[in-house]
Amino acid sequence: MAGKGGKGLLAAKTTAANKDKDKDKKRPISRSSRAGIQFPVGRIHRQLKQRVQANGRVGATAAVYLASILEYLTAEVLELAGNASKDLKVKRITPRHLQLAIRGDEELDTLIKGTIAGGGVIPHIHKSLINKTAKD
Amino acid sequence: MEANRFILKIHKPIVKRDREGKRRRKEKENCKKRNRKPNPKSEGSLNPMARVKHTPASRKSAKKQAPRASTSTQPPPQSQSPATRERRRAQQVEPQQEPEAQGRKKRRNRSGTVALREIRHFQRSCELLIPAAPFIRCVKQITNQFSTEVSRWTPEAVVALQEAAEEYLVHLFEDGMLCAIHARRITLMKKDIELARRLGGIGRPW
Repeated sequence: MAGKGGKGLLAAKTTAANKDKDKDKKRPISRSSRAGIQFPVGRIHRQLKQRVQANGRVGATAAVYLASILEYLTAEVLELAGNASKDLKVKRITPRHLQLAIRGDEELDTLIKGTIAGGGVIPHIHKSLINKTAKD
Repeated sequence: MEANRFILKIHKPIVKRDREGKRRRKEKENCKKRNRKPNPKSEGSLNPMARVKHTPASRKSAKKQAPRASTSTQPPPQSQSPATRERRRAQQVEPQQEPEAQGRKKRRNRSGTVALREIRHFQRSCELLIPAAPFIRCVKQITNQFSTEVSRWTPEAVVALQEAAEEYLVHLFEDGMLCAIHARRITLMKKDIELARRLGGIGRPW
């Protein structure tokens, strides 16, 4: 009897402990917030696994690393584009502002070689084409 | 000798006074000239002696205007129809309007000024420069040459193609202009475009 009673007591204790654990369970924290970045680490990890050759095996830190790189590049471009729009006294970033920002920065210009739709060109007139006597 | 010196000493101040008197007279005359009213003949032009070049056009216009003035002085005969009277009135009004038109000369820019202004304008803007409808017709024509099965384009695809085409052409013209400047010219020629395409390394001929 004592054994049975003991078992019963143990069972009661374990159920109480489980209830306490349920109370102590925290909400799931995203890997982006753990890394302190805005870009989605989980999504990048999933897309890496879809495209990688080695049976979909990708390290956990690889996704964090790649997300932080992408965030840095995005922040760099957006900051320069925001400065361009502020110089033109406009509150909305357009493709023209992105073009001015990218072509104005030497390293971004070498990185982004593609065409920006609706971006236009950088204003530049060769010195030999400008008449010194002519006054506009 | 002493007497001569004495005479010279006496006469020197007299000469000085005479010179001063002449200067004063000249100054008075100049003042009178300045205060004098301007010549009415020279009011129209700044320089009264300026030459007027008589070009053939001005002579013709003078000949044309002279008979009109003479006809306007004559009283019109009563046998004229109302249409001819209106013509006469128009002829009388025209000589008055012509000098105004001659006075207002059309302002012309020097060669190259408008070109530079247009360069600045188009480099500042970022819209598409090729008209959309002719570009679509051209795209449809080329599509038909390559494939009769594919004959429909979405608007987004056409806009994307036009963006790419214009961007390619702009870069080609930029490179061609650099080739022209390298040849110490500022006129873009066919050979500059050919050189730019050749050095670009992309394109059918090379």
